[in-house]
Amino acid sequence: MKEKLEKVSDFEWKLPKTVRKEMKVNARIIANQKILDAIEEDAVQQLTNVACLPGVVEPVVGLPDMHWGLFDSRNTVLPPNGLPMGAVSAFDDKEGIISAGLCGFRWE
Amino acid sequence: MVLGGNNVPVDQDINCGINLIRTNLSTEEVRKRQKELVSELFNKIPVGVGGKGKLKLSGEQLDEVLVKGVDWAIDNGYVTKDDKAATEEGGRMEGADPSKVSDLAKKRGAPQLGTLGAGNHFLEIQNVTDVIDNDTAGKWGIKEPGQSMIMLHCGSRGLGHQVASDYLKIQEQAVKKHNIWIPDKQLACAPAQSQEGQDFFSAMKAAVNYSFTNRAVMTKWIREVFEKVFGRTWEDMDMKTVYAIAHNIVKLEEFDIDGKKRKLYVHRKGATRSYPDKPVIIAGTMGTSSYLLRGTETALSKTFGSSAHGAGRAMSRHAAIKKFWGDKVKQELAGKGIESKSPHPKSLAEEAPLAYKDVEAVVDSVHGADVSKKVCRMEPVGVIKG
Repeated sequence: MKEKLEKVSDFEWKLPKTVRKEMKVNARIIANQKILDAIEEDAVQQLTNVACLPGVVEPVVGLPDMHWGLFDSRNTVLPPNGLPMGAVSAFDDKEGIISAGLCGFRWE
Repeated sequence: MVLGGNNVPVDQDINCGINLIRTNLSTEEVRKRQKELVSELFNKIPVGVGGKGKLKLSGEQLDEVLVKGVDWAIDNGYVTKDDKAATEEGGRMEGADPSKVSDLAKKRGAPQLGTLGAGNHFLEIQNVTDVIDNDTAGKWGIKEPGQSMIMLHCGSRGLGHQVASDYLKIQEQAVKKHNIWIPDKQLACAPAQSQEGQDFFSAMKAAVNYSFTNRAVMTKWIREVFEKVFGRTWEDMDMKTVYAIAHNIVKLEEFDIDGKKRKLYVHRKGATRSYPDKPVIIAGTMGTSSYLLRGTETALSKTFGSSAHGAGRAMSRHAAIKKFWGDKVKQELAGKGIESKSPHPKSLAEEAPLAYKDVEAVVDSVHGADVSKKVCRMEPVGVIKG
């Protein structure tokens, strides 16, 4: 998924909704090259998940501190409710959703 | 942390956030009293995973905190109206409903008001190393490099964690009940106008208010420690709140979308609000820099008025504990002139600076994209780690 990111500027990248048929809106990532290189493929995948939800408003935003990394005691990764940290998503007040998993989650 | 052999989410931290307090003390003055200061702060502020505080709130008092937030802290002499004015949402989200917060969440929250907690939570004394935007810094009471600042990073403790846990379960059911197609089984949500959606929103607001109050209570104690160590009043040391901001929150906000004003449920998950000319605070990690920035118009159109919140982990806590040895981390911090204290060496190891992405690159990215602009840069001088 990461290779499908389109460069908008030195600090902004676009993931077009065409990369996945269920995506309703584009995703946008704020990152310079150094940060982009460090962002995990899984975190980008998670952004596409959010872009599939009902009533989502363009764009789903990944910020430069975005990470998927929540880990269990054996250091295997657990998905933090399917959504990355360091992200912003907005939903229509009538047609959209509210998620308890979208407002912060930390595993240890 | 492993509890009972299972891997559990220990902290779904609603309104994890940062309070930045300024002083008119120079870092030079602070360094002379550094050890004493860190030690006194460590004694005054309760830390650790299940850490209990000095306040014993009754059920009624807790409900009042959940509804009134920072207004409760003002009524009870912890902070002032100026602090409230420098808090996102005025430290009080309207519509918080304690009846939507479970008894278990309240039981966990009642003894923890005024505690730092564990994980990535910290209290730092920082030195302003660079002032990038002089005009804005001046407006916010920051004059020049060498000035001493205080950064408090923590959240809604066991109460917020329990609220999130409770509603994740409820919303997992809501997904089925309302027949919502979700791309990932892990994803719990509910239609915005459904009972499950609105109940969570009302309970979350209560946890948000609790967290703002938690940091307000500690603000008073921090001021008291400085008063004791320096023998001056906190007003005399100009220890005003620059800003108090939330990292994890859902808010109903209005945005201009394709020329039309629309109300949206904005979910900021590990993100801060970035509104034009309002403060944005990005925390580094122990031993690295933190930044104060200002919000922009661009953020309103590009990121729903949001910016980054921190460095973002590059390594799990567990991996960090394996790789770094707590005492060594302490020594390395000391080598940089940073005095640190934590309840256990492990707490220092799991938050070792190398376990995080480069905060400078994070800040360069948001600055470059114009979703918030650098105002000043700070480095830690003293660290209390939860």
